[in-house]
Amino acid sequence: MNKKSMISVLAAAAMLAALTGCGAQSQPAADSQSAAPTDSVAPAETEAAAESQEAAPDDDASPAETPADTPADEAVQIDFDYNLNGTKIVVGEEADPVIEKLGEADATFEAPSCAFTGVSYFYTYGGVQVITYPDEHDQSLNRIYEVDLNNDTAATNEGITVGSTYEDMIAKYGKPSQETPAYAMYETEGKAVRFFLTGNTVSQIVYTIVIN
Amino acid sequence: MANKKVLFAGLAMTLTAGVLLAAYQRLVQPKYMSDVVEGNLIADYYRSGKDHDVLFIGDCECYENFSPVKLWEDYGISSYIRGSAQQLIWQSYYLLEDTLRCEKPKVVVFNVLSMKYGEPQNEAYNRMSVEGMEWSKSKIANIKASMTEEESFLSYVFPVLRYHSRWSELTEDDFRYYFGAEPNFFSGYYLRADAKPAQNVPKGTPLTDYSFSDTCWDYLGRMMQLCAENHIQLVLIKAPSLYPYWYPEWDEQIREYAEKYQLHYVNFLDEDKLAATGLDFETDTYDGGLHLNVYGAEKLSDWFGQYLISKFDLRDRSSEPALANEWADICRRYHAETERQVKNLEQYGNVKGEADASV
Repeated sequence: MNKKSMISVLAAAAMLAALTGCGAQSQPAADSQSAAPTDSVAPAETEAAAESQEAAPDDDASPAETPADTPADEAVQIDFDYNLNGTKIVVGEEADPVIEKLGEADATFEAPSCAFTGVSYFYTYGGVQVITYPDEHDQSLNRIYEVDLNNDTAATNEGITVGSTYEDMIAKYGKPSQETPAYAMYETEGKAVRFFLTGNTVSQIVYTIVIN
Repeated sequence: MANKKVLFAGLAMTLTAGVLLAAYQRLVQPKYMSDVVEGNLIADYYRSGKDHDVLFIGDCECYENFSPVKLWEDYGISSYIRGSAQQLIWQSYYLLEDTLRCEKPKVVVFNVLSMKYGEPQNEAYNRMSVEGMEWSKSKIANIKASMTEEESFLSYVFPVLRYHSRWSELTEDDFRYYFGAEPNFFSGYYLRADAKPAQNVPKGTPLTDYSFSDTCWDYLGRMMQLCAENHIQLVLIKAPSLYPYWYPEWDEQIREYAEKYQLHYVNFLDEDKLAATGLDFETDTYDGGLHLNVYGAEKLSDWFGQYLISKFDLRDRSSEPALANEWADICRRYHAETERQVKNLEQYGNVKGEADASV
C-alpha cells in the first residue's frame, strides 16, 4: 500500500471512530435498552411537570393585608422538613428507610411509570400523604417527592394546620416567597412549603421538591 | 492512473466504513421486544395498510384504553392508534402530519392529557416517540420540538452516537430482531389481559397554576387547523384513566376551547360517561386505574364506536375484501394474544409466563 492509500485508510478509520462517538460525544445520563434516562409517573408525569409551568409570582395578589404585628420583615427560621410521629421526612432524600420507620400506612397506591420499571408510591398516614418517585438514574431507588397535609389532624412543625388562617400562617412563617390569592409558598434551595388557601383559610399544605 | 487508484481505494474504504457503521448502528439500537415494547409503537404503523377512517393520537391513555379490534369487529370501523409513552402534544401533532402523508382519516381523536406538558420532558420517551418515525419534514420538526437540552439533533440522524455504548449490554434480542421487530400491537393497541383493582387512587395535589402553556394551545390550534384543511373531524377526549389526576380546572379549559371552536369533547371521567361505558375499575384495569385491560378497552370502544357512528359519516367497511383481509389477521393475532395471556395468568399468575413472574 502506498503512502496516499494509507492516508485514505486512516481517514476512513478516523471518520468511523468519530461517528461512533469514541471520545468527545457527551452522553445523556443512563443507558441500556431504553436509552435510558427514565421517567417516573408521579412527579415527573404529573404535578411536578405541571408545576414547572408555574406562573410568575404575583406580589400584588395577597389574599389579605399582612398584619402589622407579624414578623414579615424578620428572618423566620422555617423547617422545610416534616416531622411525622418522630420521623423526619426530607423531600428529595431516599424514601425507603423513612417509609420503613413510619410503619404500616393506612392506605397505599402505586403508579408505575409508563413503559419503564420505576414506580411512584403514595402512602397515607391519617391526614398525611407521603409521595415518592423513582430516582432518575436508578429506578429502584425511591425518593421523597412530596408530603401533603390534608386535614386538621396534621400540623406543620410550626403549628399550622388545614383550617388555620392566613394571618396564623404569616405570624409563624413571615412573608412568603411567592403568593397569589390561591396559595402562599416558602422556598429554599430545592425545597418548598406551599399553603393552599380557600379564601382566608389554609385548605392544604404541601412540602415538596422544587424543580427548576 | 495512480491518482485514480488512490481515489478508488479511498472511496472503497469510505463506503466500507459507512456500511460497517450502519451495521453497527442497527445492532446497538434498542429493539424494544422483550422489554419496553412500547418503543416499537410508532414504527409499527408503517406496516399497516394505511386505510383507516379513525385515527387516535395521544399517549398511553390512547394506546392502552381503546381497542381498534373491537371497533372493527362490532362496527366495521377501521382505526389506528398512533400513540407512544408520554407522547407530548407536539409529538402528536407531527405524528398527525406524518400520518396525513400516508392516508386521510375521516376522524381524528386526540387525548388531551398531554396538554399539561409545555416543555420537553425526557429523552427516553422522546426517543420512543420520535425514532420510529420515517424520515420526513414532520420528523425533523418533531425532533427539534422534542429535544431536551442534553440531546443533539445529530444523535437522531445517527442514533449510533447515542447508543454506541450499548455494545457491552447487547442481548439475544439485539441479534434476533436485527432485521426488524415482530408485531406486538394490534393497530397501535397495547393489549393486557390481567386485572388489578383501582384502590386508594389519590386526588391531585393542588397546583399553583392550572393554566396550560401557550405552546400546548398553539399545537392544539395547529392540530385543529390541519384537520380543518383536510376536512377531518377532530374529537377531543379525556380517557377514563383515574391517575394521573385530571383537574377540574384543566377540564374547564378544554371544555371552553371545544365550545369556542365547536369541537367535540368527551371526558370519559364524567360520571354519566363512566356509567354509560359500564367500566368497572375492580375488573377492567390492569394497573390500579391508570390504564384499562383488554376487557375495559373493549367496553370503552363499544361505547365509543356507537358514538362515532352516531356523530360522523362512518360506514361499516367490513365487507371490503382487502380491508377485511388485513383486519382478519389483526383480529386473529389479537384473540390469540388475549388467550395466551389468560392461559399464562391461570398457569403462572402473570401475563408473560414463567419467564417473567414479576409482570
